[in-house]
Amino acid sequence: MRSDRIPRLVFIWILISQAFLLFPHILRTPQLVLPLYVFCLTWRLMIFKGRWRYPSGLVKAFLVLASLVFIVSLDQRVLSIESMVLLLITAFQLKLIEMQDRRDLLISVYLAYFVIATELIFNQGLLSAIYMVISVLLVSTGLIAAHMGLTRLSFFHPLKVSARLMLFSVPIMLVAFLVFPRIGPLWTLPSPAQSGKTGMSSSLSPGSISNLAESDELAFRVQFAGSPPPMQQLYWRGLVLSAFDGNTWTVADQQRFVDDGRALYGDLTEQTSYDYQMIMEANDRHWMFPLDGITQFDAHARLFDDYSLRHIGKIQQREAWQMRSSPQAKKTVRLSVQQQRFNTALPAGKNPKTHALAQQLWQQSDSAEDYLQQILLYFNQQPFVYTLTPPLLGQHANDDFLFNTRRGFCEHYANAFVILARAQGLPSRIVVGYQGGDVNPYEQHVSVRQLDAHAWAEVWLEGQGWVRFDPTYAVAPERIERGSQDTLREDPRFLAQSPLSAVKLANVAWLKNLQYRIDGLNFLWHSKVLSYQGAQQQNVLAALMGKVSLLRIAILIISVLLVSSLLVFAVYYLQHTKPVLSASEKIYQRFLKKLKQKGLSKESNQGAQDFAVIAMQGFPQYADEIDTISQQYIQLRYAKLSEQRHQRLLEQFRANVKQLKIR
Amino acid sequence: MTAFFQRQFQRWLDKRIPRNNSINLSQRRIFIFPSRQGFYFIGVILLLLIAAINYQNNLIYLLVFFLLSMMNTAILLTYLNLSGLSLQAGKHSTAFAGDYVEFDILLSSKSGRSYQQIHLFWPDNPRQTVDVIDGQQTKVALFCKSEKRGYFRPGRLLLETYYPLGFLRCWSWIDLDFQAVVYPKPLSIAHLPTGVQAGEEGEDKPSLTADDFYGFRAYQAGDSMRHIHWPSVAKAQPMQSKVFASKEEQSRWLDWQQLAGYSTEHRLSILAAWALSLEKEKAQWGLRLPGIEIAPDSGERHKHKVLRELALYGISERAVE
Repeated sequence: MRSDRIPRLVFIWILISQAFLLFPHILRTPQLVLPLYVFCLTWRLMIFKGRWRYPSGLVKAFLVLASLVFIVSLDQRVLSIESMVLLLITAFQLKLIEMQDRRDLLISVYLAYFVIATELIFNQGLLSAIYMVISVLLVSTGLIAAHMGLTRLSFFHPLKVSARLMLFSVPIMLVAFLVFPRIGPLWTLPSPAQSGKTGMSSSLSPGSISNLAESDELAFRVQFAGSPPPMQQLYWRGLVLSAFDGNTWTVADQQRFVDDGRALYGDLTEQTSYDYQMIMEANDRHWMFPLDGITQFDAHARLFDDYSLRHIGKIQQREAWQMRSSPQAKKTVRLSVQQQRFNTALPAGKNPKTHALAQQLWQQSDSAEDYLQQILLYFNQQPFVYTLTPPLLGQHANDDFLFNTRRGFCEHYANAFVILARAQGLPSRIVVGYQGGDVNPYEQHVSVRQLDAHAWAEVWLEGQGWVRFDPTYAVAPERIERGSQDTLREDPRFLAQSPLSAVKLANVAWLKNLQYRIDGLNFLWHSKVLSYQGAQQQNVLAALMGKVSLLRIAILIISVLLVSSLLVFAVYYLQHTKPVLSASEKIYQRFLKKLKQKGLSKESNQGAQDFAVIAMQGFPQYADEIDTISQQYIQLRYAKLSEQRHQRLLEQFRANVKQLKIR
Repeated sequence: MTAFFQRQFQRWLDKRIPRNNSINLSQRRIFIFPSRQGFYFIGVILLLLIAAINYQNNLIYLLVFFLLSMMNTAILLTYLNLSGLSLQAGKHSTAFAGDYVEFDILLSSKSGRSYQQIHLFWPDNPRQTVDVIDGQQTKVALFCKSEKRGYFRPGRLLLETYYPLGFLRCWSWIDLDFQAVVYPKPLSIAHLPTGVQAGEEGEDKPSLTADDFYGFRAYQAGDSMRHIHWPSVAKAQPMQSKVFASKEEQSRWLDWQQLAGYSTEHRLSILAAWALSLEKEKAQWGLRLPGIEIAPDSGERHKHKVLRELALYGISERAVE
């Protein structure tokens, strides 16, 4: 344990594990991690060759300072998790050039475990799990090599020992994972910034939804308890926008949240309801996107009287919630006079042609519903185009859109529809969220991506409450029936931010299939492993041991401990009951096998000499070969030969046995 | 207080792992506890656990439990790296008081398993590290510093291993039945009296220089019987005759009485120093201690015989028990 030097073989394993550990970190922040790694590795190799020396204290201090300055210049927030991780990784890399003895090695091992863990803060997919397992394996390999005798040690031997150690450790790890109580955070730690993520913004102006169609990033996944509702009903309700300044729609300030979601709906008894689990990706926002008609939801959420659901804190990591929705339920909330006024407000003096059209259509219709149908008919029959690349609009944006350009994405149609409705005093608003999704045929879950973002309209009708109208359906029904992937594939802007997206290749059948498989696996990982806690944990434990009690948990842990310990002992003792064969014995066994295939086998009490005589009689045409082999074997085993002669004879013996072909 | 506990612990150890010529490490003789590095490792695991709780990150939980479970498996593997090991006392050397005595220890195992990096040492003495491959007998030479002349037992030997991860220390205190003879530390504080003849201590005889003794040659017919080197005859070696530069045979005596005025230990030390220098001069010399006389002779064997007498002077066999 003293300051003993690290042997070469140990060092190679340390280098391998370090390279592997750093790989994802290099991908995330290449500008610092990669040059520093190349620098440290070069220095280390030069030390190895004896050309350079270990860095002096001054050089080390300079390196630390330089990295610090670089880290701060990368990210102004010094205490952000990204900066702290970079700091850790810098220390981990610099350790490489100053590592001299076993103590340094152990410090680098402790750092390594933190380096692994920090990667898991950023990513938790299946790949990250594989990264974790391989990393731990490699780090332990280095440790084992460092604590192993170097006599008769092959390069891969430590790896084998390490793999075995890990395999033996799996049962207890699983039990601990299952039974360890999941408690809430003790205090808040800085979370990774979600700045790179695309997501729904809290306002709507032309172009804000179509931007999302450029990304195939996952928004959330949903697993239905039964079969999922049909595609046309998959309206994932997000924000409700009712404040309009002539260009941008925003969320109105005054909403109340309700304690019982069911109070907001009409009679629910006749409605089909769906139970589902939603696994939402982190988006650094409050919005949740339940299926329209949400009635039951997680304790961490609030339902507002505009039927939007918000998470109490920002969603900063992947979360799983249990929900229930009745998509066809009537939203029969009462409208106060104030709300009525608010939901019909339009900025004065804008879009005169739109108002004229509203007047014209209103006169043609005999009821409010009929009027709204007339608007949809108008969209359907005039040459409107559903596109991701609409032209820019002028000062009277909606007039320009309705009568001039006539090319737009869902937000343009929703916007135009609500303006037309409000022009005739109908309380109406825009809802943004997602529509549709990709149903995985293997796991029966729905993956909703950013490209599924959608905007639609809601109008308050006397006696019916808020009713959904989707003007996009009038223009491009295939968008609602088949989903955005099918509809928009040819559009140049579609997936512009995700050029390598697998979604683009979806028309190749087997690729699509493979993608579904992987996605299904990922979904299982997310829903079963990553979100394992709370009620899910209770259920699994109950299924495992009936009643969950401390005593039973203790019994479970102890029995697994016992069984896995027995397993270790069994493997170690059994492994050594079989005799260790020397090289010559192994080759002789091969010779015996060749004869056995021809029907001649050696009795265990027969000597090699006696057997040779019998074999020569049995195969007289090979008598010479059998004799030579037997004599060589006897010499190898019993004669006292010098190391060199033994080796030479062994080679001849091996060659003779190999050449022997008995027909 | 600590002395009391140490005594109690020693007594308990003596009962549990009694002194023996060969000791087999079984489970009641092996202790295991996390090493200092192991405690750091547990600290790392706890920090990661806090991260897992605060980030509610199940993958970090998995990592934490993996490491924890590996620590548990390492307990078994570290234990297996000591259990079933047999230690046997081999040869040992002699030394002068204050020098290191070499003890050979033979390690092997019937289990046929390999044992990695077993560290052996007596407390405050240099450690040796050894691998036992496939349970085959492996010799390790271990050193222990002696204190004073006489019989020397090195005491309990510490045997420890950190394999495979270094986070656990598995050890045993074993008492192999070693008993070495430690010679008095040579002290050159008194001059070697020149030419002291048999039985004539104090008398001033003409001195004879050590150069007079020339060496040995094979016995030839006609050689004086007085010049035959009898110790080699006793060993059934070819008969040899001593050859002297001067015709007359002289032998010198190291006598206890010459050193009146010194303490017993000093006397023995001085005698040891004289013995060494006479041996270097290849002289014929003998030793006289109260009640003991060793006839004049020369050679390595003679030297050790004399030194042994000096070492054990006044010490009975049982004194060390």
